[in-house]
Amino acid sequence: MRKKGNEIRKFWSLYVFIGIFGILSFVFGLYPVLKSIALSFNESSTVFTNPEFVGLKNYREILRDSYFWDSFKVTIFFTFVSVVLNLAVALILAQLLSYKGLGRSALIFKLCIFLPFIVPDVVGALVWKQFFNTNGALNQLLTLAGAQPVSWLNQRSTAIGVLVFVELWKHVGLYTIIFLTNYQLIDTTMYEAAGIDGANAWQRYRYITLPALRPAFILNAVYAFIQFMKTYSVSRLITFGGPNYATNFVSYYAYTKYEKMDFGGATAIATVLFAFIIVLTLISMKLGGDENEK
Amino acid sequence: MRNKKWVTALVYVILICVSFVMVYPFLWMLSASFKTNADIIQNPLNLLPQKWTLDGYRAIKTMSGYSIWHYLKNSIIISAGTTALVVVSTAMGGYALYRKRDLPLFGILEKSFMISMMYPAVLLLIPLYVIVIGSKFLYGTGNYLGIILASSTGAWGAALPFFLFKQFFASVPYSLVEASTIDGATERQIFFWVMCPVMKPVILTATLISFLTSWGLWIPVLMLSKDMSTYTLASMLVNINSELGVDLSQTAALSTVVTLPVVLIFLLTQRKVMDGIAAGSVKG
Repeated sequence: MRKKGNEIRKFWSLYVFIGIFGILSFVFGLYPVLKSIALSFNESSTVFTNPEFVGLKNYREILRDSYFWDSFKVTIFFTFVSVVLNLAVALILAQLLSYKGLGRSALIFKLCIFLPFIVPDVVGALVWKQFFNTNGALNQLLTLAGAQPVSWLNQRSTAIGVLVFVELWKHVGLYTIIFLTNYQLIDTTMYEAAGIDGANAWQRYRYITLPALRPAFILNAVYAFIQFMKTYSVSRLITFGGPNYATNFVSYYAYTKYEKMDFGGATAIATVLFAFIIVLTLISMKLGGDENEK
Repeated sequence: MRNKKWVTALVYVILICVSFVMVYPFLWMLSASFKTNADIIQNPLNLLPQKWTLDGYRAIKTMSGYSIWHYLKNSIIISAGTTALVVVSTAMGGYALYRKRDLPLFGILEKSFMISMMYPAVLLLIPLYVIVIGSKFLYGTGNYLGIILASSTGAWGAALPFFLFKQFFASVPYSLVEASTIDGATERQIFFWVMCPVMKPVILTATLISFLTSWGLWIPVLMLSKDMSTYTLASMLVNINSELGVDLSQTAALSTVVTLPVVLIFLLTQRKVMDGIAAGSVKG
């Protein structure tokens, strides 16, 4: 104990350094998380005026709520499709971008692919919404080609497809850049050795490139998983959770509960989602980490 | 040899198509901002206006009683404030964690940061809203502080810069610090005179990334503003689209105004931004 006291006295200026970070992380990070969890155990209507502890009531209610389960299912489906698609497309793009024959034009392609990531999300969402509109650009193109127009945003299956596409467009650049960085770390002498041993292009890719990209795979998968489980903006900006709750993602559903002043329900949903994200993230990080040590 | 030419051509064709899809919305937006509403609705495929007009830009000169300069000013104040807070807190915090991670409380602080990253950000604003509106200091007409503080946490802007610094410190040899302590330097001297010069490039990258990402934030702005006196350009773009009877050329003009600064900054500094994001992520 005395040793600790001495250390604090000796390194007190480090506490000053970490001060702002610490206040932000506590007061605007951990505290709201705990407060939100605490709110979920209170009666919604009186939560601010006269907090009344109701135990698991809010949780029992959302677990009985079929809209919540549908919302959870659609979020998991959306996340699964998005993670797989983003990683697959990013991997292909990274492979294409690292093709030697491109020379300096690779930079221009890289800029274009990355651009959607840094532009405010609302801009992309609004333009794509217009593009997929009933009388938008895509349907005019289909009509010109002699096909029937499709009401993309008014059908369950196509509406979720549109959101998968918009989120892919927005985020794939980030995952591509991360794969590319990993590409540059691959030891190229391995390819030469493999060439001498007579390995063909597919074998080199399968046994050298893919295993070497493992760190980027794990990182991208974890990032993308957290990112897409929390999806909210596109639902709010493009489909408003519809049509007929087809894109009613958990974050969006909880938000609509908050708008209806159902704070207990909203925070209970948020807490369930948070628990799900944290458990799966820890598991995947543990699995990824262990494999790396082998 | 001929085979190789074909491969190169194929790679080019694919990448040109992909790049077109990536920039298409911005081209569409730019052209729509010079079109009339009727032209946008009737000819969404044309990337050139039938008749050039500045109607869209006239429509954003004043919105909801405030001039465009008001929203631009708010965007600059909120993104600059958030950027400053994010960079200072993650740079100094990251350094303290690197210098002596096992000090009491340090571990909990880092974990709180990671936890706030995983909580659904939109919903974290519910308790934040409760905290912010309860305080005169953080909430009120023309008060940016609550918005800036909430935007500077792991849930929004601070995650990427934090990992960027973490990654950077992992590559700094610890002997640099040890040598300075032997020379009798105080902790403050080590940080300001030894570390800061080494950190310069990464501070610049973190500043750029932080500014670019906080420029487009609209959820915290809409939720933590008392009234429109603190609305930014991006949140105004969401706002004019929540109303019925959306004015498309106005939307396109405002989208162009929101997008232009970040695209310009990005094109001028693309190397630093892309390398920085990649570096910050690979460690995280």
